[in-house]
Amino acid sequence: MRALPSLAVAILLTGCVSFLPPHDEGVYKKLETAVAEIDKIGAAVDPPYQPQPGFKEIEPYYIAALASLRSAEAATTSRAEAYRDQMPGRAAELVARAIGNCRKAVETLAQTHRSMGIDGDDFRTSSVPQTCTIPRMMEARLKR
Amino acid sequence: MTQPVDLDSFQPRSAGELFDGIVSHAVPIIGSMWSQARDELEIHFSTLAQNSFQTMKRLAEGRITREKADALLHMQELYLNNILLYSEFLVYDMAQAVLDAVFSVVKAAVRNWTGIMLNF
Repeated sequence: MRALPSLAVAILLTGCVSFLPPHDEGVYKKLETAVAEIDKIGAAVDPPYQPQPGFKEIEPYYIAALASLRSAEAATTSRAEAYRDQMPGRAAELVARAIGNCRKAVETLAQTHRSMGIDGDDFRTSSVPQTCTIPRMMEARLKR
Repeated sequence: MTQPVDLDSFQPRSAGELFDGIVSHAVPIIGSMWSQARDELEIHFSTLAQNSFQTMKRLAEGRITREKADALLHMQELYLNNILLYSEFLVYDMAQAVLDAVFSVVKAAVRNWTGIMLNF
């Protein structure tokens, strides 16, 4: 019973403690957009008719996905930099790096598509949708 | 394991009782989050293995060029990298959930004894 007031003081002194950076709704929306554009690419290279659309017609989806990803990557990189020496630093860095990997995967897919062409099997085995869903799930989990 | 204590009436009379209250809330969280995380990661690893195997098969059967296989394997590598980053992230997510649970129990105890609701 007597221990409780001193415990209350101890709590006040420790202040806010967190392993995670704050959730950024803007970043989350950009990641949602990127995944949606990637899904469109998947549908375009596996259409219910032949031949599939040319790269030039599908290119806008790549550009849209990359635009969102670059913007999200910049925002999360700044966030990781801001929290670098604090407890949320590592988790913030993980999110930024995951977005970076997703961006590289989309760039590689675009280059492959442009130079060699891709079909539905290529798209699925590339795993790009899954690679890009992971950072979105991370950002979602930051909501507390 | 004990049932989680009712936070509306929790008035621990000793540090030991407070500890038991904390444990009753923290342990179920660790249990459920851990098995959910493990299931999620298993699906990712399984998908990755299937995709890599498919690529090897298609290359061996001459259905794709070596150049294309290279590109696909590179993208699968990026996927694996993200799975590993995600697995580390999930540990922080779990730690935060436990932290939040522990302090919600302590705050409830303080409120029930003193009438003061701390905000931190």
